[in-house]
Amino acid sequence: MSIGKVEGKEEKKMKMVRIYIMGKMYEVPEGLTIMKAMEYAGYRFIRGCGCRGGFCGACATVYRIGNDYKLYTGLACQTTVQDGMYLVQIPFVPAEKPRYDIDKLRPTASTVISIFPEVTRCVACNTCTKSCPQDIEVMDAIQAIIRGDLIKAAELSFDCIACGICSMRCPAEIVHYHVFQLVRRLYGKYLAKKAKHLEQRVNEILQGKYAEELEKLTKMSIEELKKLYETREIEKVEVIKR
Amino acid sequence: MYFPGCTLKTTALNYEETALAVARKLGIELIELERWNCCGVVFNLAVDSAMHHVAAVRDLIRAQQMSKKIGDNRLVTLCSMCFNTLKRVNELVKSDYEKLETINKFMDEEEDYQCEIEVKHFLEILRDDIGFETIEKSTTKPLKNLKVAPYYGCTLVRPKDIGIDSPENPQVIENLVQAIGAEPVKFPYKVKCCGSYDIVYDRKIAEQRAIEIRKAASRWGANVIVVTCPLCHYNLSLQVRAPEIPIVYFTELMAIALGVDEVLDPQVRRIIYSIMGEIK
Repeated sequence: MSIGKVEGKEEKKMKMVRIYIMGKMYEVPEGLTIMKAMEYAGYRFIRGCGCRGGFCGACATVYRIGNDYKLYTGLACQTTVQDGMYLVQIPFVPAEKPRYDIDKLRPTASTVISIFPEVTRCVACNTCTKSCPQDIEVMDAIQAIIRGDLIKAAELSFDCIACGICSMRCPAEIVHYHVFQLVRRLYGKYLAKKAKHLEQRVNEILQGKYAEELEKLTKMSIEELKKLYETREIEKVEVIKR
Repeated sequence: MYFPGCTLKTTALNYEETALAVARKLGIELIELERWNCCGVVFNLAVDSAMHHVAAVRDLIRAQQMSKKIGDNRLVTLCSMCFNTLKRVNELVKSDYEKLETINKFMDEEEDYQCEIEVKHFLEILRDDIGFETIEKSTTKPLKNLKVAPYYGCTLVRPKDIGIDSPENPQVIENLVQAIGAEPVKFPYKVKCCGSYDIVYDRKIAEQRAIEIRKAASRWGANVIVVTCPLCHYNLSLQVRAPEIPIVYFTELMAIALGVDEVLDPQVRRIIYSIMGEIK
């Protein structure tokens, strides 16, 4: 029995689809994510790949499918390949993050607009919303900022993973994910209700309540730490049945 | 249905609050659109531009969706600028089918705009649906001693096709302030531009306009200027060498006259009451 034969058998069973990676055609097994399909085709990710779980926003992908005018976007680790996909990876979105001192800002529309004046260039084309792999109402969040409703903007943009696809597509050249980060920081610092237990815990830490324990941990060897971790108390988790 | 616009949610909050209170008092229900975006600010005059009408058409689609639920196709604005932009875009797509189709196709994630929404300014509702007689009857505190310079600016009355009154000599504010017991003065500068967005590029233009308009209002015997637009309010209120004459929204005066001035900015209330000779 030769290995080649076994491989041949498996390949016959697997249904293959044709995809185009930066213009070159590859046959890859159906059902793979774009990321796995590219690895199957021989690409090795050094950038543009992070958590592989749809949370880190590092693997933005742009694609078209034959006979369809739409330009699609997605995360390579979350989107499965389709026959006739033309793919390109966007491992990084050029966008400079302005520096600001959150302690010196006020939570108003004019604060955000003075740091990101391009926000007011929004013509409500909604391209950002259509491109968002997280299904965020991106345009509505930008519009909420313009009318000074930072709470709404923070809530709408809560699921943003900063993949930057919206900012690549925006004709007004807004860098949404940096704008939203500022808005959520303003929200957290000035607008959200304060969590008393958090404040209490921070005070405890500042007063050195846990200093001794932490000191002890830092001096432990890796073996001791592993043992401690394995024998830790685990809270009971309720299993939610779907 | 009611379209507030961004400025009424930021710098002209009291315009909205007093308008809503006045509307409630007169039995008008202004229901804010559930979802809306900036109208686009200024109507774009470029003939080949569709992109700059997208914002307004999207708002009209939001109004269309809501009109089906509440069975009323009127979209009311307070800001004259929003009124102008929304109404002009509405009229444009009603008459230019090709442009409407381009915009509808571009917004393929929304339902098509059917051109059945009517854009109205709140003043039109007061004049045509409520009537100044009713407002006069509802007035519990006539605004005595108040000599009002009615200031229309541009966007409420121009261009003629979309204006709510004569572009040269409109009368709607005069009739309204008369109904609430104030005296409108003759004011030849009532449709002169305040400088509008020139304030952004050259502050001096707007300052010059503020000086001319305030001096004229004072010369014609007014002790208050009434406006309908947050940008006119801002420009006319600039710090310039001109008579310190209070600039107020028509809804702020109405709130006092109709006895719903709990929401009125205390500073405005003090000014008006002191003119009326009743410091409060």
